Amino acid sequence: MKRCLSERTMWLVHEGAAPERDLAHLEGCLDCAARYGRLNEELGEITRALRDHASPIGRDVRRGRRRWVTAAAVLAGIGLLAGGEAVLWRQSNALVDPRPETTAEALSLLEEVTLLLSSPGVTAASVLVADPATVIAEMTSPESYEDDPIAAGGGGGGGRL
Amino acid sequence: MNGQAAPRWQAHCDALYRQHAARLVRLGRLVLGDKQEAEEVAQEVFLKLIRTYEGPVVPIDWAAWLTRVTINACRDRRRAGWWAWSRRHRAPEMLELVDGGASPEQAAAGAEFGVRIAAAFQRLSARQREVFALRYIEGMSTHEVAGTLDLSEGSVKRHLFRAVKYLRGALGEIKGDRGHR
Repeated sequence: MKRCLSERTMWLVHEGAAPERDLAHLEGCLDCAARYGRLNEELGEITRALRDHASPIGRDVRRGRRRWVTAAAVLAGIGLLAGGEAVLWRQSNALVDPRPETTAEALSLLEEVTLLLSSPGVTAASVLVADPATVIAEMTSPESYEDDPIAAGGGGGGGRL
Repeated sequence: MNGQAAPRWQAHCDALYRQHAARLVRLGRLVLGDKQEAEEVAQEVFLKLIRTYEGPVVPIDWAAWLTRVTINACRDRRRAGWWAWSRRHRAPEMLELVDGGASPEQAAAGAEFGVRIAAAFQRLSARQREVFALRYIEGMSTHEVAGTLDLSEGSVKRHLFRAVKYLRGALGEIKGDRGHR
């Protein structure tokens, strides 16, 4: 009986480059057939492992997607922080910068209202129903102080507050 | 290039990119053992493709052309002094012998096998890696591999058999280690 096939001849069979007599031996020898089956199986395992390991599709793509999601989340977070900061900054600026012309107007109005309310004989109701110009004129005229005991009496301890 | 030709070549280049980019990155990764380098090589190859498309001689078989140019680009990188230097000075995990993306459980189980086979593959000579990758991963015939690498068929078979023998030995060791655990 012919000797069993060498490892190289076995591989040549796998490559389709072995002579006829080796193929004939392989068909008749159970031991060589088993070895040939193992060669096929192992080559398949190696090839699959290398293909999967080196393939850019799959794990790397998933990893890439995960990176994108993380980057997007970080960017969104930074955007939110920046937006919130801008809103806070605007509000604080509004407090620091009271807009002078508006304040002047408001102060003069407040002054007038205070004057009006503190003047004797003028009630809130009368202010509300009366013409503001008339009320102010009344307030500022010297006669308006006549009924005021403090102002009219001219007592030493008093005066208009 | 005139206005009508541009979309046509662009469409063809896009189609070639979609069809072959992943394959070329994988090939470069096997030959060079480095994912980033492989991606750069693939980009170089597709830039060359555009230049060749505009040139006077256009290849008939683009797939074979892309494979050959990728192998040549990998060789150019290997020959460059800086590449050898960077490989010597990089930690092994940077050379993708270890899978950084897998969870510890995956790395311990399924992925470990692939990682160890890939590590064994990187211990082959450059020529053996090229021959093995083209024959078994790309599925070329021995004759085609010889044509792509400018080698004789006998030389291809010699390199291929040595690579197969070594990798089968490594596989046996890996299986033995797994059996002992």
